[in-house]
Amino acid sequence: MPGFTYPSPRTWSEGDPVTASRLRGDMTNLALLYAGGARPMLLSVNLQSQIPVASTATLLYIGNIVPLNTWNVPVITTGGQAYYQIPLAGYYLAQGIVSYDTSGSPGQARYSMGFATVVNGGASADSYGGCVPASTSTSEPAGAAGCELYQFNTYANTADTLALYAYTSNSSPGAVLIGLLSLEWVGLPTSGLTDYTGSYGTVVSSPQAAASFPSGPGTYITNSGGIASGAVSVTVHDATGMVTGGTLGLDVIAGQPYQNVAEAVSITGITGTTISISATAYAHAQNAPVAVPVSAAFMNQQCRDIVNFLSYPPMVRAATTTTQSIPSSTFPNGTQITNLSASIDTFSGFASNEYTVPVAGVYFVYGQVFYAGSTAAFAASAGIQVSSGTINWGTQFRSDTTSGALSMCATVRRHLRLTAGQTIKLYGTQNSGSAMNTIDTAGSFSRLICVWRSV
Amino acid sequence: MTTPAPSVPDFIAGFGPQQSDLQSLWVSPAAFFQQKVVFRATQATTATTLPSAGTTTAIGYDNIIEDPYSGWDAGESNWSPPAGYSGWYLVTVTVWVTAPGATQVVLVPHIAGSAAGNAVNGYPLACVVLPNGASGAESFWYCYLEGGSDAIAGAAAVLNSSSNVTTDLTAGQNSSIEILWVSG
Repeated sequence: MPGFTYPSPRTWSEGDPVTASRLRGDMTNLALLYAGGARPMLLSVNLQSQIPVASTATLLYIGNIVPLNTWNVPVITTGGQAYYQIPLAGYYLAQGIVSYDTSGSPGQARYSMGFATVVNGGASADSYGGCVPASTSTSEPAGAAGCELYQFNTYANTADTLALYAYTSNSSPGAVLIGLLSLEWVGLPTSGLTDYTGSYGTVVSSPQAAASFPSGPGTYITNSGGIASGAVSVTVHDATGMVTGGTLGLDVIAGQPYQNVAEAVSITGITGTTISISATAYAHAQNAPVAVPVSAAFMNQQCRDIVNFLSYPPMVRAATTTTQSIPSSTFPNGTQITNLSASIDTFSGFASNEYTVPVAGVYFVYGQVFYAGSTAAFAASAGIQVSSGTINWGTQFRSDTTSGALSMCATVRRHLRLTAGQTIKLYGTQNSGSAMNTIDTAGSFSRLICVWRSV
Repeated sequence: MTTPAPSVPDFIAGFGPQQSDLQSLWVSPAAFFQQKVVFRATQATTATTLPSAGTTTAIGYDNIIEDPYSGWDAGESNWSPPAGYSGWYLVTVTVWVTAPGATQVVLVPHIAGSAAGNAVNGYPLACVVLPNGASGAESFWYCYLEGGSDAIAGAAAVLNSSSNVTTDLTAGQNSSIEILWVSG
C-alpha cells in the first residue's frame, strides 16, 4: 500500500517543531488505516459448489467473488486458490461461514467450518469453528459460522497464509452451498515475529478522547481579583488544548510577554476551567492573557496515544486447555466454561476464566463451546455473560446422531457495549439427560474472543 | 454522540495550520475513529412470524439500544447509515424462536437489504436444525453501505416447517442485531 507504514507515532518533547512531515507520518498514516483502505481486509464469497471430501478438511477457493481485497493480495479468480497471503503483520479477526447442501443420511453427520493457517512460518493446527448437525431431510441445508483471532507475520517474511475449509462427516457429502470468508486486520503484533522490522503495539491504558488544539489567541484569567504570587490554581475562560503536563504562559500573548510578570507554569491538573498549576512566581490580574502553546504533553496525548491505542486496542483470545464435564440442564440454565488460557491478551485483562474489560467501549465478542456429542438426542448452545447479567445465547441446535456420538460446536457472537471492570464469561448448556464432556483437541476446542472496536 | 464523517488528512509541506485546520485535519477524523458509527437493537416486545413457506422475513427489532445517527426505520425494519458515512459495516445477527412445534425445522439467519455491496443478499448465513424448544442461530457479514441510501436488515427463514414459527422475546434468548462501521 503506497505511502503507508506500520503505525509508530513519535514521542514529542518540548520544543519539537510540529512539522507537516511529522503530522503526516503519524496522523495521516493512521487515517489511511481506517478511512483510506490501508488496513488489510478480505471478503471472499465461494459459490462454486465445491464438493468436500468426506471427513476431510477441504479448502475452499477464495477467488470466486471478492467484494473486498484492500491490499490487492493476489487471488486467482478461476479455479483453485485457497490461501490468502498475509500482507501486513499483526492481529487478524478471521470469520467464516460454510453452508452445505445435504445428501445421503444428513441427520447422522456433522457439518463444520474452520481455518487452516501458517503462523509465523509454522503450520498451525486447523481451528474448527461452528459445527452443527443437519435435518434428516436431504432437502434442507446445514451450515455454521466461526471465528478466530490470529497474530500473523507477513507472507513475504515467513509465508503466512490463511484458508477457509469445509468439513463434513457425511460419507456422501453434498456440495458447499456457500463459503464466506472475512479477514480484517485489527491491530499491530505484540512480539516475536521472525524477520519482522515493523513496529509492535504499545498499550495505552487510559486513552483520552480526541480534543481540539489550542486556539492561537489563547485565553485569559477569570479569577475575580486575579491570582496572587504563589498561586497553584487559576480559572480561565477556555481550557481548550490544555492537558496535564502541558505549559501555560501567564501574561503572555502571541508568544510575547504582555507584562513584565510574564511567566510559564506547568499544568498539574484540570477540572473544567479550573487549572491546577505549579506555583506562580508573580501575581497576575483578572483578564490577563494566558498563552496555551501546543505542548509536548498535548501532542503525546492527542497524537501519539490516540494512534497507539487505535493501532493496538484491547484484544483477548482464550482457549480451553482440557475437557470439562457439562451437566445436563434445562435451558436457559448453563455452565460456565473453565480451564481457559489466554494466548492473546493485549491489555492483560484475562484471568480465572473471565475477561475483565480494561477500557470502556463496544467490543466484538465471540464464543464457542465444543461438545463431545451423544447418541441420545440433545440440544446445545453457547452463551456470553456480562458480569452477573442474563446470559446472551447464540446458536442452539438439536443433534440426534443415533448411529454414533459426533462432536458439535455451538457459537455466539455479538457487539456489546461494556464498561471498564465488567467481566465476560463463556457459558455452555446441553440437555442430553447425562453429563457430557466438552472436546479439547488440537483443532477442536472452546474459545472466547473479545476485540475492542469503538468508544 | 455523533462525530463528523472520517477523512484522510493531507498535511502539505510548509503549510502552517490554524486551529480550525487541525480540527478538520486531525481532531474530527480521530474522534470518528475512536467513536465509530454503531447501531444495536434487540427484539423485546412484538414477535415476528416466520412463515412456514420459508419466506425470508425481516426481524422487527423494537428495542433500539443504540442509534446515535437515527438510522433505524421501524416501518421497514431496516437501518441506514447517514449521508457521508458510507463504508464497510460489520453486521452481527442472532435470531431466536420459540418452540417450532416439531423437530427437524431448520432456522436460517439472513442479512438482507438494498446494499449493492451486500453480495450475500438471499444466501444462508447458517442453517441450524432446531429442537422443539426455544432455539436460535447466529451469523455475520460485512456489507458496503452508501450513507443515506442503502439499508440493511436482520432477517430469517424457517425451512422444513409445517407451521409458522414465532420469534422469541425472552431476554437472553431473543433476536439481536449490531452494525459497526469498520472501514471507509
